[in-house]
Amino acid sequence: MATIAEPQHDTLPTYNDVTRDIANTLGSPKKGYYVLLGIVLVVLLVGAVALLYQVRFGLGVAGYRPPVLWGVYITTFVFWVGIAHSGTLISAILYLFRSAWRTSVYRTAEAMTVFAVMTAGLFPLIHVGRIWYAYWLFPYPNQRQLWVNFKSPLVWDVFAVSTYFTVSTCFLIVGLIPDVAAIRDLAKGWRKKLYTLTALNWRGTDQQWRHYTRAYLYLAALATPLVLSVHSVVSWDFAMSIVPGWHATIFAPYFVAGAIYSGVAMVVTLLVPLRKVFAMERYITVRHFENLAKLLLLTGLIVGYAYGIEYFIAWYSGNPFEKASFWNRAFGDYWWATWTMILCNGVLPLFLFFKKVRTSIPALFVLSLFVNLGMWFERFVIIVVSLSFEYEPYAMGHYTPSWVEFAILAGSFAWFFMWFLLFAKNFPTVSITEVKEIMPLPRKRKVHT
Amino acid sequence: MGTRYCSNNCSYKVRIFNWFDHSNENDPAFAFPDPLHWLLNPDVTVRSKGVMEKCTFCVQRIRAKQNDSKLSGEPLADGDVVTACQQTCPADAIVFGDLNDPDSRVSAMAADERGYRVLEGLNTRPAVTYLKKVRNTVEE
Repeated sequence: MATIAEPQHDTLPTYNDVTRDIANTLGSPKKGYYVLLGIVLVVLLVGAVALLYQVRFGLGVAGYRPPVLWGVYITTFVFWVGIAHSGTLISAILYLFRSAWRTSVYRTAEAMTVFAVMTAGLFPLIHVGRIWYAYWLFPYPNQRQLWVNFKSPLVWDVFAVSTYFTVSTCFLIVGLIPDVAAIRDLAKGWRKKLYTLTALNWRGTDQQWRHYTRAYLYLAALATPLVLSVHSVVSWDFAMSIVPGWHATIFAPYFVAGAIYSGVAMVVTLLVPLRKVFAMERYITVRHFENLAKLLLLTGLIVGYAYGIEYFIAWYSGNPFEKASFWNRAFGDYWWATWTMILCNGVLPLFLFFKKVRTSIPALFVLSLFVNLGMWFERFVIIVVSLSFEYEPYAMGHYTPSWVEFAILAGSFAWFFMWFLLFAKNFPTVSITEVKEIMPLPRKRKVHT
Repeated sequence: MGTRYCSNNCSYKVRIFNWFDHSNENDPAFAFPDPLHWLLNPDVTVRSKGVMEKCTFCVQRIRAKQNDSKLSGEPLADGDVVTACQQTCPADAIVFGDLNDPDSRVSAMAADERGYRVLEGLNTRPAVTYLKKVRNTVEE
C-alpha cells in the first residue's frame, strides 16, 4: 500500500469546513443580488415585449431580407446549444475518466448546461412564423392529416435537444440529492421545505449511497454520447442542406469542438465572479482554471483547424459556388463578422500556450468574453453570410437585424442569468459531496507515516 | 409552421414568406381593401402571416381536372390542365403537361436541343425547362 502523505491541515479544508463554507453561499442575499436580479428581470421584460410585438404583427418586424431567412434567432439558438455542451463534458465525461479536478467546478457547469438548453429551446419557437402551431413539430397521432418529415434535420433537432434537456436535467437533479440533504439539515423556514422536497428523503444510508453512486454512473454514461450527438445533429441542420458554406462533411466535429469551446468559455465567465462573490478561492483554485484553459486551448485549436480546412476545401474542391461563398465571407459585405470570428476564436486562444496567461484569472476572464463573442459571430457568419450569397446573383441580399431581434437576444441572456442567479443562491454551486470525496479522510489523531 | 428551411434549401429562391398578416382586415398590413379584393382568386386561400408560399403549378386547376376525369371516367388528356400563366401568356411561351408521358407536348419540348434547366448540376431535378433563344450568328 502506498504511503499516506500527511494532510496539510492548515491549508486543506475539513469536512465540516466544506459543508459550512458552501452552505454559507446560500440564504439571505445581499442588496447587490437583488439589484442584479432586478436588472436581469427588466431586460427579460423588454425581450418579452419584443416577442409579443413580433407575434402580434408577424415575423416581418425582424430584419429578415430574402434570401436571408434565418438570422439572429437561429444564430442565438446554436450559440446557446453550444454553451450547453461543456457542462456535460465536465460533469459526465470527466467523471467517467475519473478526473478529480472536476469536482468543484462541475455543478456550476451542469447548471449552466440546463439553463443554456432552456434558453436555446426558446429560439426555434421564437423564430418560426406561427409560434402557436409549434406543436406540429411533434409526431403524435392527430386528426390534421399532418405528419412530420423524418427526413428533415429540423425534426432530428427536436429530438436531440429535448433528449439532451431531459438527460442533463436528470443528471443535475440526481447529483444534487446528497448536497441538498446536507443543506436541508442546516436550513430553516421555506428553504427547509424546499430542500426536504428536493432531497427526496435522503438520509445517507449505505444502501442509498450504493444506489446513488450507481445511478450517477449510469446517467454519466447515458449523457456522454449526447455531448457528441446533440451538436452533430444541430450541425446537420446546415450540413444536410445544399447551401454553399453549409454543405460540408466537417460540420459535425467542427460544431462539437466549437460547442465545447464556447461552453468552457462560458464556464470561465461564470466561475470567475462566482468564486469572488462566494469567496470560493479555497475550492476553485487557479489549478482548476488552468485545466479549463487547457480545454479551451485544445478545442480552440480544433476550431481554428476547422476554419482553415473550410477555406482549403473551398479552394481544393474546385466548386465555383463554394469558392465564391468563402471569398464573400472574408472580403464581402460581412468581412467584419468573419474577421471578428477568426480573431476571437482562432488567434486569441493561442495565447493560452503561455502558462502565465493560463494561470492569470483576469486574463482568462477577458479571453473567455472574447471567445463567447467570437463563437456567436461564428454562427452568424455560417448562417447569415452563407445565406446572403448563394447560387444566383438575382437572389442575393443583405440582412441587418432589427431592434426586435436585439431585444430578444438581450432577453435570452437575461433569461439565462435569471435562472443562474436563482440557482446560485438556492442550491450549492460547488458540490459538497464530491469535494469531500477527493479530500483526505478526517482523522482524530495525526497519521504516522 | 414557418421554419423557412425550405427556402434556405431552395437554390432558386423562388419561395416567398408571408412576413405580415396581409389577409386579415383587422391588421395594419391588410393588403386587400375594397376593390382590391377582386384580384384574389376565389379558388385559392389567402394565407395568414408566417406561411411559406410557392408557385404550385396551379394545383387547384390540376385537382379540378383530376376530379372531372374521375367523375366522367375519361382519363386526363395532354393539354387538359392549363395553368393560369399559360392561359394568360399571349405568346404561348408556356407549356404545361406531364413530363412522365413521353408523347405529351411538354415532353417533346423539354427534349429539344435548345432545352436547359437552371442549376441542373446541383441535381435538384427541376421540373421547369427553358428553351434557349436561337440567334442567327452568320453575318449577312
